[in-house]
Amino acid sequence: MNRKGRILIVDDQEHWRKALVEILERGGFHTDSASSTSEALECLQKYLYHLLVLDIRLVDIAGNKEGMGLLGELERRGLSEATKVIMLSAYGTQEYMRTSFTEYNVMDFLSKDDFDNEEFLREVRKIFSEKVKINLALDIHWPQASRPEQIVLTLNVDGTSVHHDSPLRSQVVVELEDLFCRLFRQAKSVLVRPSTAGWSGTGVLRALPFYPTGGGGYEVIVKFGDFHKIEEEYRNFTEYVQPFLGGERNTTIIAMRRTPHLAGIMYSLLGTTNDQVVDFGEFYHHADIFQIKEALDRLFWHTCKAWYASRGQLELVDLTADYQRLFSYPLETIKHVLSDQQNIAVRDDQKLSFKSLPGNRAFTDPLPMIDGLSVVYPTYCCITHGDFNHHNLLVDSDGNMWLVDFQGTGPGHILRDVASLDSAVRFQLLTAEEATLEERLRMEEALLDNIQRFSQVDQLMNKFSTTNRALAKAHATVIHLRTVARKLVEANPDDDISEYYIALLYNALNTLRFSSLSSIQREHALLCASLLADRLGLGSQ
Amino acid sequence: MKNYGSKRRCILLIDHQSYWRELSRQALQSGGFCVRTLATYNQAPLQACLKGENPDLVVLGCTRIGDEEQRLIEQVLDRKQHLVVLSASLSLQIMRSLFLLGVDDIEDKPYDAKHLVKIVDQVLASIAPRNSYQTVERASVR
Repeated sequence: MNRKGRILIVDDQEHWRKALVEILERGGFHTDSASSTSEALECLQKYLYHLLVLDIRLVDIAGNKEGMGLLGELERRGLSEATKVIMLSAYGTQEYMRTSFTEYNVMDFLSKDDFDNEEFLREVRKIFSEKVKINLALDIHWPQASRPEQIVLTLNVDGTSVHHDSPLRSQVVVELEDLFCRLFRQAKSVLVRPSTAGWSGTGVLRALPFYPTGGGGYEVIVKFGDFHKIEEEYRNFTEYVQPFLGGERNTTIIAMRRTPHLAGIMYSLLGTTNDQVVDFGEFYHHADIFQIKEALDRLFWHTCKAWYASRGQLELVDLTADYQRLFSYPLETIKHVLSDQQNIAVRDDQKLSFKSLPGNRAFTDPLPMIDGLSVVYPTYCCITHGDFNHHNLLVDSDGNMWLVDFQGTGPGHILRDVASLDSAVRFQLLTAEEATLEERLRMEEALLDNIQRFSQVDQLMNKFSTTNRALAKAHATVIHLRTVARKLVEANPDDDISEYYIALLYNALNTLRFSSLSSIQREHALLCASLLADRLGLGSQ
Repeated sequence: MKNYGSKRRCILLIDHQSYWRELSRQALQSGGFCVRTLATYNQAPLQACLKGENPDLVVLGCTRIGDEEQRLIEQVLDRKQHLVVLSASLSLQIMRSLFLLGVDDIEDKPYDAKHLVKIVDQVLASIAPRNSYQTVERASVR
């Protein structure tokens, strides 16, 4: 590997810049130098640095302390954790030193008066090995089909999506490699396998590290992306997941590291069988319905047991507010998406028709129905994962399940996760080629046919039959999920299934935003939302 | 286990000089802390206090950083305790070496009693367990 420790020298005096560059480059580091605060900030914005060597006086005027100001700016920009700092000055005072160490966590505070080349180089090397904690010699084997240049295209960093032509792309590629060098600092090499795009512009990869002493380690999951989002996931994990972990199988955080723009969490899946873990989507397509039901039972009654066991009292919950907060989409976005759908006609009388359905049948347009909607139901809240889909659930060869991606984790409607998975099965796992819109419509109508109470869910199996195996599998899986939903709220004397339909309605509308889905899958979601709006009687409210 | 759960944070105050010890004790107690004092650097009582009291923070007051003080500082830090040093005759070199050892904060003697409480508050706030990456990262490079 040809990676070098990257150091930025910030000093207004040219002879010091030259001397430091020479010492550090002789020591095997890559160095850049800046003579002012603005130059330094420009470098920090464009390039990655592991270490900053910073003078206090950056303008030759008595009392100038711009270097201290730059320390504050690093902190404000969130760079201070990824880029370590050595202060090097001829104007150090007790107060500057104290502030530097206690407020800005600098690695060292050296004086130019008794500067020693070799001691300085030793100190820099020590900081790299003990504080930066990075393995620049790590051999990273990226998957052939998705090199880092492709992987980063899923990311949204600092509110900007990484595109093919954006200057951010090359910078983020460098940072992704650097992030792996930090996360796997004890490994000799790491074999990276593709996984999935994470929630809102983050990424997920699988990685198998190999150690110089002991061969291959356990495969881990690496969630990475914009630092702020990963920090939020870390907070959610420590607050809502970690306290509820127990038993032999669970997801744990092994490490979290960051670079200037990115951060990454290394998850370990404890208790997997032979490390043969696949995502629920892959499992679903290969497993039979009995294996799927068994895995779902383990998911809800074992993996997530503690969350559901800790549900609160029956309370009035504003479900519309809960789901709007979860999905945080403006109605206009969905309307815009809908207007792009070529196969859907929106009529003036708030009706929709689908060109691929025979008979020009008119369906209720659900969008005007949810505008300003407020639905309050007596139900339960508990901690939920917040984004149950086929990518965030992992299954081992014994059918045990693990969760990853906790960015949306937190308290919410108890049926949030089951409804989310119910929607993922119908709109995503049932692929575009596997069923026509007409077949999908028949299934949706059967699923809602005269089912107003949870206690009627048992009748669902007899309401639909098909020779389409993929559709039958999706139908059977969804019925099983609805029996899970029924059990989760069985203590509620109300028995009204409407709360589940509200959850499904919002999930269906949210699905319209998934640009990776085919037209038919999105039309399916819209049809479902339309039928749910009718079932809930929203048009008559 | 640190004593994070208790309502009053516990400070172990070590100072040879009775005047400073009493002044600091009063200041910290009136600042709402539970204070245990020690007038000696001897190993046995120090270890007993660190183990028995499990203080949230150790405050060492001294006139200079000599061999004895250096040894005591290393013993306290070896136990992963947080430490504030209050000393006269502090040079920049000594301050640097103490910070590099892992001392949380250093203050010159003489100091104002209110200032001491402020320092202790700041150190305790910075070491309080938070579910933030920054805290974890800072703790890991300490």
